[in-house]
Amino acid sequence: MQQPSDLNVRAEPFYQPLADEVEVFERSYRLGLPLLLKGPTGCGKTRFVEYMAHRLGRPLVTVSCHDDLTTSDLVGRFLVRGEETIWNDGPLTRAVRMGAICYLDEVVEARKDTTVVIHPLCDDRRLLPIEKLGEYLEAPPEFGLVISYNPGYQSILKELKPSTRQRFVALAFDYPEAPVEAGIIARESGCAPTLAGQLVQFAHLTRNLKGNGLDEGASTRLLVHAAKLSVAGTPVWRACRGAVAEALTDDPEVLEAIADLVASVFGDPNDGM
Amino acid sequence: MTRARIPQNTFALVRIERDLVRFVGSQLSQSEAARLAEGLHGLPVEVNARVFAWTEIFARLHTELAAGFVRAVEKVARATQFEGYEHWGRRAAEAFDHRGLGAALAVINDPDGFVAEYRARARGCDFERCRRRLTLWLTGLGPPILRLVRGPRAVTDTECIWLPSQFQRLDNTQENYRLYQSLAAFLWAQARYTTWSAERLFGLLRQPNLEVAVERFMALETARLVACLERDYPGVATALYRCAQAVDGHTDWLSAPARFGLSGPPQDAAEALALARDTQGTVALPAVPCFRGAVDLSILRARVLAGSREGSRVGLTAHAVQAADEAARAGYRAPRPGAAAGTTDAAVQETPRAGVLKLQIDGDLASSSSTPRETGGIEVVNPEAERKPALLTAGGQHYDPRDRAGSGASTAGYDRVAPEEVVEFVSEWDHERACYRDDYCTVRIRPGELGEPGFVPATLERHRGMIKSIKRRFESLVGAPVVQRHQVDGDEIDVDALIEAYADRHAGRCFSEHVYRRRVDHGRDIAALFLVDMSGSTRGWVNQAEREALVLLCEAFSLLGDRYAIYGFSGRTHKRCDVFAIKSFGERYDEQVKRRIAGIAPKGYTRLGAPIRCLSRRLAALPARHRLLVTITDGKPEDYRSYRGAYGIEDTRRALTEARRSGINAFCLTIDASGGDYLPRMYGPANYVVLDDVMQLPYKLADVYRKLTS
Repeated sequence: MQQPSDLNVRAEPFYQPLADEVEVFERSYRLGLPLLLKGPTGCGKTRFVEYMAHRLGRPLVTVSCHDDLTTSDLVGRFLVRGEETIWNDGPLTRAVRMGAICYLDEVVEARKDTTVVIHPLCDDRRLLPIEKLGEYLEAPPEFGLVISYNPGYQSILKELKPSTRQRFVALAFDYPEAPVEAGIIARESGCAPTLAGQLVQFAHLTRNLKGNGLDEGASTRLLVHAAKLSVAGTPVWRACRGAVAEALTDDPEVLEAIADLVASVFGDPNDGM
Repeated sequence: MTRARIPQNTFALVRIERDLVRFVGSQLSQSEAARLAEGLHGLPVEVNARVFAWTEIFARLHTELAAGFVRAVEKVARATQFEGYEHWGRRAAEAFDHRGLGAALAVINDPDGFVAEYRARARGCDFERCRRRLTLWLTGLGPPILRLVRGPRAVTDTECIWLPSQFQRLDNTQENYRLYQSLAAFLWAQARYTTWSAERLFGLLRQPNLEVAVERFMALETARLVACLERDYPGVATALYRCAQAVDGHTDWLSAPARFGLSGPPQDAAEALALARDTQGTVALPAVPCFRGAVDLSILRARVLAGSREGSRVGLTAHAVQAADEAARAGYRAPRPGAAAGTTDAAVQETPRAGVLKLQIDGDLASSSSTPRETGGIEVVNPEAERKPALLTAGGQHYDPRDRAGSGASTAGYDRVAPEEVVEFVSEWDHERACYRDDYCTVRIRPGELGEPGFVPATLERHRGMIKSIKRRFESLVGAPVVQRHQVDGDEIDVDALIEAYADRHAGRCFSEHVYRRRVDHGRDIAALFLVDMSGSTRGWVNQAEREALVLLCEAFSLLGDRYAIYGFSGRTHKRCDVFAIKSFGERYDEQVKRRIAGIAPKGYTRLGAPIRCLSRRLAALPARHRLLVTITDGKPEDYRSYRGAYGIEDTRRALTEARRSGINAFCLTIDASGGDYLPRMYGPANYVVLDDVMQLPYKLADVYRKLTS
């Protein structure tokens, strides 16, 4: 059986604050207000939650949401073992009981009838009703609820209902400013600052293609991958192709155009650069 | 020539010689035929077969063409790695189709010219092939976003970039692409780093020696732009350097600032202009680099004028007006959204006032209320401000939609087109030539004729019983299934829910009732087009059955809510393919449509390919998850003269393949008992039904539709 301390974030994760998000998170947490993080993929939302969990000294329970997630998956269910039935807490119930921070990642992927189970936790009641046990679990002050999603390319069928959205304090995330992003990449991958700067410039060029060949430009995460590969000895143009271009698209013409953009920053690989 | 040398099968060689004589006998001497036969015999088998087919085609067109073809085809085939000879044949055949024997002979009798061009194309850049990649790359570089357009030269007006449609200066495709890309980069840089502004443009235009001023300005700008690119996009700058080394062999253009006494490139374009203008005496300018492209002041001026909003008055010199004329003739056609008709043509007219020129727009003198300014001789009023309120056609006549007589101009020698008619040109596939005859068929689409009003009620009365059963069968079709879990009832058990319920029961709680899964219909998204054969052979009971079937189908459709359309087709020769709109997608099943169904009557022949292509385009444009094309016909595709047999079948098959590629499922219903011979080839083995009894057509049509869409 997992102990609460098993879920603590042990080492301090590296997180570069962009504005006042750390203070806002901390204050909201202490006031018992739930948080909504929104932003494109790979811009640091999950890392931020880990960082805050460590900073606040609380265990972190993460749930990756999907279409088949039911209320039982979140709250818990009876399981039959031999002749006995034993109640099993779901991750949400566990988090409430131990006063952890519960992080529901990509919450719009879950069906709306599942998402409503968090409503009583999100308002000032801070209650989790467990119907099958006939219990109303009161959340301790240490409990915190955080949800995240990517507002960019969701279909209209997968949107957060206003009744859900309006229970949260929202923090908008985006890719950092170029020097900050370069610093993050250098720190995460151990690459030289010049390379980090060039990778960021390349990312900006791909972000210009958003909506014009690409759904999303290169995220900070992809740049960190490319930098790590480069530090390990892969030629940078090859690292960009594998870690960034092929991850962004399958369209051959777009891939060629991205290769041209790599050449625009790093020079043509065929020139022996 | 000694045959003893040749180790091959001499029978085949003899046959080739005999065939050559058969096709072009009068044009070739016996020794020439023998020599050519040897050469053809040496070609790979599949090439040999295609050469034979082409020779046969040319022999049918003209023996001189066939002779020219066989004389040179071996050389062309070998020189183009056995790939280009078909392009060559195709080009000659198309020249014959469109321009006659002389044009075709010009192609056939210049094989070397074709080979040189073919090789150049293979190594070079083709605008269409490169356009998307270049556009994406330029978009990625960042704003400004310029549009890429094909044009005679590499030039820009800061909103569009024109590039030549074929480009080949080096021997290697990749090198050529890099140079092509560098041209685009330099033109883009002119917009990105504001080389051109209204002030600078007209500052240049005022110079007494315009050419020198422009060259000086561009020499300085080249150095400046490359320096900017080096700072912001080092890879792009490197590519420019490499192109210069590869093509020009030098980078002399770097020395331009020094020639004007600068230690480095100018700070901005204004400084470059000032230097170009104010430096006295001659300055030896460096050679123009290969990536610079051209500079066209007239299109820049046109862009500046189009961009000015308030009707500002600009002074121009006679040079600029002349340049405006040249722009009108140069063939630049930048798509200008919102540009009204008739605002682009400008002409110059001498007036009695000495040294003063007046600008004419659209045949009217651009009037100005004040005298020309000191600087120039000409006053140009912003054309936008002077536009007339009425809509003008290119011919200068006023357009009145009620005017049935139209403009009086005939379309390609055809009768005049009535306003409700639409004329489209579609290609046809020639399976012998293995290529399309572009825009070969003229398709006229017009509303169907009206028939007697009593037909539909009579049909409904006659088939009353059947309509009920058809409707009932269609009811089950409504909706596309989606699975809902944890339901109180449904088609299947939801195992997960059942397990949970069982566990709950074990724990002493109530057994939940929500243990079923259900498939729920969420709405169909189908668009269907019915293509009805109206050829002469349908006269009689076939026509009757077709009309009745359509009536029953329409009744059933009222249940489904699917979008559907009905078109009839017939025709005679490729110049006259008729398509009758019985019911288009946007129309409701109203009295007009009912009368048009009644009015379906047998007409001409069955040239299937053209209406399929034409209507597939419309069907493909509809937003629907499933698109269906159902053809109802009584026999093979056949038209007057050559559209019969394999030709007709292959063209129809090709049209159906194109339709399938654009997401349309094609199906055929026929009463031709021998349909099994050719329908599998056209529609596929499972996509047709041969009806034994034509009176079964109504039932079968509804049945087939149900099967196809459930």
